[in-house]
Order: sequence, then structure tokens, then C-alpha cells
Amino acid sequence: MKATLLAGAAFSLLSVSAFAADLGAPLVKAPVSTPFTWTSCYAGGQVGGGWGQKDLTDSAGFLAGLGPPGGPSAANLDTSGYMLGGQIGCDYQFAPAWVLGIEGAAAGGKIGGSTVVAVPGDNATFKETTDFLSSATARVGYAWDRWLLYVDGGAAWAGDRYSVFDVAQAYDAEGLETRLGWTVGAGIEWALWNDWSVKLEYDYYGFGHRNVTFIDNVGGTFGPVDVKQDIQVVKLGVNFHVFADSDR
Amino acid sequence: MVHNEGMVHMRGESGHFAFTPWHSGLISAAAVVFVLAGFLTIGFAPPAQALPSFARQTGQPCGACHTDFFGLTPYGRRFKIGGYTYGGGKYRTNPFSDDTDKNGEKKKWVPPISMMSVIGFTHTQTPTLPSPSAPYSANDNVVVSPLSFFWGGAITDHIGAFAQVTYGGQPAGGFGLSVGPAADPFAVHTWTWDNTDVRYADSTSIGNFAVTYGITANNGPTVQDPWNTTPVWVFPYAGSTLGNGFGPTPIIDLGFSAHVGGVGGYAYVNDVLYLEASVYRTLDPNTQNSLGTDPFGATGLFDAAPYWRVAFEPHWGNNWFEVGTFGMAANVHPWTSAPGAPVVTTATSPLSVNFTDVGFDSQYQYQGDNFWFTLRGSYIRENQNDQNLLIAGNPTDILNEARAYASLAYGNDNRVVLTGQYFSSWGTPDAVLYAGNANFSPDTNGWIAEIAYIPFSSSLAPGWPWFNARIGLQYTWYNEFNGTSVGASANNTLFLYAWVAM
Repeated sequence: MKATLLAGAAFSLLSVSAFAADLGAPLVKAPVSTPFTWTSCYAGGQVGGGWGQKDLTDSAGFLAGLGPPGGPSAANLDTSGYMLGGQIGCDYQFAPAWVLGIEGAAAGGKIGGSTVVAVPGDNATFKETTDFLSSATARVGYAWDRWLLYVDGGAAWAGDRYSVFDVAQAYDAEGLETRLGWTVGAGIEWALWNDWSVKLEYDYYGFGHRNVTFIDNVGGTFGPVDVKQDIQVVKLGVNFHVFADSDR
Repeated sequence: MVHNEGMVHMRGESGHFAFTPWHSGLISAAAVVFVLAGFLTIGFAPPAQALPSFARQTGQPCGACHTDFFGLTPYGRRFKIGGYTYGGGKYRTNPFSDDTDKNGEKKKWVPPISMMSVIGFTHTQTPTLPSPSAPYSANDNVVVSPLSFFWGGAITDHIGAFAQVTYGGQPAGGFGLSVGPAADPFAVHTWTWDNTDVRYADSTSIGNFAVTYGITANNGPTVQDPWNTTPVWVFPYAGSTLGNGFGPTPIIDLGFSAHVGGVGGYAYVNDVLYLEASVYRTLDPNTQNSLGTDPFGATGLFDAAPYWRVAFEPHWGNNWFEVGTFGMAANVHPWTSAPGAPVVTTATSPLSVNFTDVGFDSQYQYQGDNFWFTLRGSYIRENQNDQNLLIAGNPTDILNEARAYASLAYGNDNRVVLTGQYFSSWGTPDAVLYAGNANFSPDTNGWIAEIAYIPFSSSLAPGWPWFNARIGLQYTWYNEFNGTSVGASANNTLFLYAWVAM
């Protein structure tokens, strides 16, 4: 297809030259501009603010056996915080304004919180921190020249640290995990200058239920605790693009 | 030298965004995006230095600086000595330079930022993670170790930096207590500052001698060293973080990495003689904590600790031979309490323990038409003087560490690297330092064998200068472990890994 276009362009130039010679006037070449394309690969950074919810359920009775006095049977926690990270990806523009792409992203920071839960004769603290969040996603978008509106989705991973403890230190149970889940989101990206673009993106991360092994650092016992979690993040990112097939 | 004019010529013919074939680059890059994104169960972090940002800055393929990353070639060592400031790529060397392309137009500047990740499968001959091993299985784990972001390259014509931030993952068995006087308030980090070396470098002539000189500010002894015979940069370049280590090590061998700040001056005379003198000091515990380092990961705090390095590297034809010495001395004030104590504080003893480490190293490198052959050896002797028995059971102890290494990196692109290494630590038995070891002995020794594959080394292959990869299969045999050969083989470790950098 490229060869056909080149041949056509050459024929057109020959035709113009013939006319110009006939007219006896100097030929003034108009600048040729290549349409902007999102077809490229990119790497960049991101900063985000996030919030989420963690629902802990002692379905196997492990927390109930801590102490005495025993840990909470359930706890719900709202979390918030920040993430900093980077992403790499590739896009392909076709037909002619649709864009398909894939992206890998990883970020670190702190989205967490703590809450105090009353248990018979005591208070327990449930604390959580997500310090790692990454994803492998595909995106589809529609471009208006240098603006791209898109939706994305794929797999996601979160690194979490959970603690359930009693301030009197009758128990101090800790759970760690890197959890696989899914993510969907939407965003807008603007190719503002040369190879650079900025984007604003919202992503929802669903991680569902999972049994996490909690280890009691006081009593030395360990067992499963069910934790359900989700996270939402609004990200501001900047990307540098390479391998584009047009000059920018 | 290893400059390849053909490579430079190829780079010159690659127009901006006209990388040929761009489709190949796009597809390769797309594949890497997904491969990387799948590496997401996390472990701990070894150091690394093989950065696409350096390739972008210099215009050189990875193989110009690395026999196999992150083993350095002679040119790679000079790039480091030169302060990471050499240019020549299709992008501007630094944000303040006026580099122009062949059309006389000012080149674009790209921040020299890179990232890398290692995903590895670890199998030990018998399960060696203590129970409970959560969040890992007792054996046969697949983890990423590590995931790092870098600034790697020039800042000005004479200042450059290699600075690494690493996600090291979660510890097997957890961080420990969350609350109470016995809790380690700093044992909360998964992200940390990692190897960092900021340099000023320039060159001059003194009489008939050409001298490259500079200043280095870094966060660990030997981070700044350009030879792969000193502790931070020795083989194995990628190692299992769920493996069993190589026995006790002298303090110069990562004992205070990321716990200290150091500054020093160096000179490289006539392309043969390297001289350096530096001084280190531990950072305040709260500063360490702010940088993601648990201060209790080191023995204590010290004030000024001198560090020295001398290396002599004559070269003839395609042969480079190096012999040198390095070392440091520190009076360490140990913590008065440590994790596990009833009350954990950052107070240190007014008394100190003296550590004096003296190291010797040697390296021979030969560059063939399509291979590199390297031999390396190093020996470190540490004298520990603890007259007040603050941390040891003996008033004086000696700890020795030795490594001997041979490597053949064969092929240009599609490079295959065969490496073998013997490692050994041995020294004075001590009932306190090595309380859990057989006969209270530190003795640990064994062998490492590795075969690795690097797809792009010497050409501006698809993806250059944006990413590279290394795939390796490594096996570690223990002849002796923690003072005994009985059961040592139970710690033998198989490590299969893929390492991507971009």
C-alpha cells in the first residue's frame, strides 16, 4: 500500500511540474504536513490519588482464637493515599481515528488506613496498607487529532500488608499478600508537544475475596482470614513516545 | 577500545522515529510490555546497572559497556569513571547541552529514566523458608526481585548520576510486631532507595599524563567502583532472594549499603591507574527510615569511616589485566537494643566495635572477534575488634571472604554467557556472632554455575535503545553451610530468571 501511495505522489508531482513549466511561473512548494498519529510506543510516569475499601471476615475463626480476648469477627475499613509510578505501552491507530493499545504499569506509595473495632471486653485495631499497585491492560480509544479518549481494562496486582492487633498486645497478627485482580478505567490523553503527552485517567481495581494467611507475632500461630478489597485511583501521567511513524 | 564505528554509523542512519523497521520495534516493545506487566509477585532486590537510558545517551548498544549486564567492559568502566556523562546518541546528552544532529538541528532531550524487573523461579533442594513462610510457599516460588526505577545518565556536561529506587517486596514470615515497645518501627518498607552514585568528572593533563578526575557521592562502599570484583557489583548479577546467601560477609560487602552517605575524590591516570579516597558516615536513623531503609538492618552507627581504592589496569591489544586493593575501617557504635529486644530504641552504645576490611582483587579480560572471556578473583579480610564484647563473644574475630570467577560471553547478538564461580567465607568461630551455626563457625562455601542468554548486545537491534533482556538458569551448590558440610546440600538452589530493562 505504501508503494502505491508513493507512486501516486510521484505522478502528482510530475503533473504539477508540467503545469508550472507551461505557466512559466516559479513553483512554490507548499509544506507537506503528516497527519498526527497515536501509533507509537511510550514510557512515562504517573502520580495518583487513591481510595478503597477493605472488608475483613474471620470466616475460619482464626482471629476469634487470638489472645484472649479474641480478635474481631469482622471489620470494614476505608483507605486513602497516593501512588507514584511509571508505565510503558504501545498504541496502534487505524480506521482512521480508532486506537488500540496495551500498557504495563507499576506504582508504589501508600493507600491505607486503620480502624478500631469493638470486641467483647476489648478493642481491636485493623490496619491496612497497599504499597504496590500494577497492571497489564489493553485500551481502545477514539482520537481527535492530538486528543485521545479511551477506556482500558485488564489484570491488576496489589501488594498489601494487613495487621490486626490489640493495643495491650494480647495478639498482633499480620498478613501479607500480592493479590491478582482486575481493573477497568477511562481517560483522556493529549499529545501536547513533540513526543510528549499528558493524560488523566480513572481506574477501578477489583480484587474480590481471598483468604490471607495471618501470623500472630505474639502467640506464634497462623491461619486464614478472608479479606475483600477494592481500590480506585485517579492518575495524572506524562508519556514520552517513540517508534511513531510520523514526525511530530 | 571497543568503540564500534559501524554501530555509530548505523545509528546515524536511523532517523528520528524512522527506526527501521519500526513495526518490528513496536511489536517487540509491545511484547515486552506484557511480559513485564506479568511479573508481579515480589521478592527482595539485588543491585543492577544495565540501563537503556545509558544506551540512549551514548548511542552505543548494550554490548559496548557490558560483556553481559551488568559486567562491565573496558569502555563501560571508563563511562562510569567519566561520570556517566559521555554522549553521542541521537538525543541530547543532558538538558543543558547544545548537541546538534547531522542536519544541524538541536537534538531532543529525553530524561534518562529507566526501569527494570527480574522475575525468577526459585527451587531449593529442600524447603528452607522458615514456617510460616507466608506470603510465599515453602518452596518453588515465582517472584519478581526486584522492580526498580532509575535515573541513569548525565545531568550536566560534567555531572552524572546513577540512582535507583527499588520495590523489594514482602519478607517471608512478615515484618514482625505492629505495635508496642518491642516493635521495630522501621520494619515497614518495601520501597527503598537503592544503589546511588552521583559524580562530577573532568579530564586534564599533568605533564605527560592524561588524568580523568572526579568526585563521587554515593550510598555504599564500592557502589562507585568500576570493576566487577568489588562487592556491590560481583556475580551473580541476578540472584534468588529466596535462596540461602553466601554466608556471613564483611561490612564492606553490603553491610552498610543504603545506610550511609559517602563522598570521595578519584583520579584515573593515563588510562592505567585508578586512585580513590572516600569517607563514609551512617545517616541518622530517621533519615534512613525516610529513604525506605530499616536502620536496624545494619550493625549500628558510625561517624567517619575512610575508604580507599587503588587499581592498576595495563592493557595491550585486546587484553586488559587489573590488580588492585580496596578497603575501609569503621568504628561502629552498636544498637543498645535491636528487633527482638523487649524495648527497641535507636540508642547506640558509647563504646564501639572496630571493623577493618582489606580487600585485594584482580581481573583479566580478553575480547575476541565475537566473545569476551573474563577471569576475576577477590579476597577480603576483616578484622573485628570488640574488646567490650558488644556484639561478639570474642574480643577479636577474623572473617575472610573469597571469590573466583570465570566467564565466557559468546556471540554478539544472541549472546550466550557461561559463568562459573567459587565462593567462600571463613573465619574465627564465635559463640555470639554465629550462635546458630555448627561449632559457631561462619564457614560457608560452594559453587555457582550459570548459563544466560542475552538477545541484543552488539547491534542496534529492534528495541534499541529502549529495552533489553537476559534469561538465565543458575544453580548454587553448597559444600559447607553455616559451619558444616552435613546437610549443606539441602540449601542447593536452582534459580531460573528473566530480566528485562527499559
